[in-house]
Amino acid sequence: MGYGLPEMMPTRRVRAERARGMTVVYAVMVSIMILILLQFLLLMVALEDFLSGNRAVLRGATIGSGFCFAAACWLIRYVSARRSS
Amino acid sequence: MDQKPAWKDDFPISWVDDHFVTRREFTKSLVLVSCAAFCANGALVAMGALEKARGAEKPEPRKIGSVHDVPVGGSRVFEFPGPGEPCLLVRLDADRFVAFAQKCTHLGCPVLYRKESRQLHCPCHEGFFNAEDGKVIAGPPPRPLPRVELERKGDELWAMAFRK
Repeated sequence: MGYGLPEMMPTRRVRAERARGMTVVYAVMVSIMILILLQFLLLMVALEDFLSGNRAVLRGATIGSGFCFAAACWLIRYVSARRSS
Repeated sequence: MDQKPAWKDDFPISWVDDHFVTRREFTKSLVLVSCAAFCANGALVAMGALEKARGAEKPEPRKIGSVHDVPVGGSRVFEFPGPGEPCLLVRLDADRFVAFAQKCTHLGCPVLYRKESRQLHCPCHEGFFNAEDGKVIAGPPPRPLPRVELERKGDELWAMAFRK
């Protein structure tokens, strides 16, 4: 028994790493769900704008939706890269 | 009776494993949903641009019928400038005809003529327009109804263009 950080057992370390990995996957999943909710909101706004013939926010909503999609793609790539490393 | 069928040995499929979806697969399918939402938004922009390009063209004058087709206080639907674009012809008095695009400027529901109040009514969200000039009287519509310019040639009625 000495001073300093306690040494972690190899099995516990593996388990801890797996738990951390799962936390990341859950965080990504929730983030993508929030992005999708935002996209549906934008789609609703765009549809209403299109049907009314106004077309003031149609482009803006599409650009916003594109950003959300790009963010979702980046998140899924991040998870895949983490897994492979 | 409870014998295992032969095909189960030939094709040993585990339905439980087959229907199992991992978290990563589910997350990937979420990205596909995100892609679909973006594509739907893009499609709306494309349709809007297409409609705008079509609206810039000058429409061909079109015969919409005879004055005797519509009784005084009555209305009739016709298509102008092309098929699938309904307009409403209203006979206000014996000699007064007006026509408007039938799509409500709120969300595109068809408007109907109410003879007793001389108003055009959108039943979807209770929008009311003045039948004389198409201006909004009540309800959520943001703009007046686009008016169709009419021309009378003898007994025939012609739709000429949308009034700017």
